[in-house]
Amino acid sequence: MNEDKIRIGEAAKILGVTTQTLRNWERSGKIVPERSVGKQRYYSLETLNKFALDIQKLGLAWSISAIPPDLPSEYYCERADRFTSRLSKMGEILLRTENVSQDLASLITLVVGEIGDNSFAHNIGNWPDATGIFYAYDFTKRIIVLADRGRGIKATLQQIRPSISTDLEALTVAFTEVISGRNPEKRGNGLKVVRRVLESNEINFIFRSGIGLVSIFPSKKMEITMADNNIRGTYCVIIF
Amino acid sequence: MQTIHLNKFGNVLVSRPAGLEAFNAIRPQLDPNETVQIDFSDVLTVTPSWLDEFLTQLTDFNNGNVILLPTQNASVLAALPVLAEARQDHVATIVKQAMKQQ
Repeated sequence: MNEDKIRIGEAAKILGVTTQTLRNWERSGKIVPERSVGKQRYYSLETLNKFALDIQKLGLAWSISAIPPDLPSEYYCERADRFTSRLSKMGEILLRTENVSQDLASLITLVVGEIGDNSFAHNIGNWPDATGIFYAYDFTKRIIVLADRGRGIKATLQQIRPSISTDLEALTVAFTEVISGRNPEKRGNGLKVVRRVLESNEINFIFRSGIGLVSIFPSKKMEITMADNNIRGTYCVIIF
Repeated sequence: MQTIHLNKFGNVLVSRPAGLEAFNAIRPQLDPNETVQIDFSDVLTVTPSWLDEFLTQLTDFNNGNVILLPTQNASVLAALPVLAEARQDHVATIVKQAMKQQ
């Protein structure tokens, strides 16, 4: 058997689960093996590596580490045009994803588009160290993660409202008021639409900046609380 | 009556710079004295930033003579009420008219 064709027993060891769990995951479509000519299951190393990778931890590392960690190139958008092109592709994949309606695909793409675009729009010319964003999704786990090492929401909004003194206050303003860190441009509606979408759909959302944490869960109103560690720019997890 | 089919600009329309670029690209084909209809067919997502920028430019250009065609696009339907509340200009007027027709 080819080196890249890993049998179920070995695959189970790599992922730290039992072979029965892998069979259950196959039935539910979570991770589907390929079949050899003799109908034997096998997994490619690439599939297993991708499955084992925890994109939440990787995104968090990108947004909290003192020194920017290396990122797999497929998760790093150095410039906005790469983000936009990957977002369009994500929209197409969402439309083909099981149990995702066209409306849900449209709205998830809206949320991701606004969050990712904000990272670029509010940090252009002002990135403290590494430019660009971490942007990864895994639709077997129905999760999307975005993170940046920018100035964060408080520093952005303090430019036009110096009285904002905490991360919690900054996040409250960002998600509830029409205000823009790029005043006097007529902008600042995006996060209000994001909140509206999240509060009326089956989407779990957390967004962090500094020590502030915004949580919006299905059928619940937005909550803004304090997290126990500091995010340099922003960090966002969307689960649907 | 002129019609702008937004799917000419892509399936996912995101960011203000892209909204401005789209308007600049289509402007030479538009007559400022004629009403413009916006058709959202065959577009997956229009983000509020793109829509706001595109409508701002377009309504400045033809003095608000814009009609948003009825649509079931979820991203557009989510953005319209926020734009209607946030703006107090031509954009708010045409968005409110569109919301009445949905």
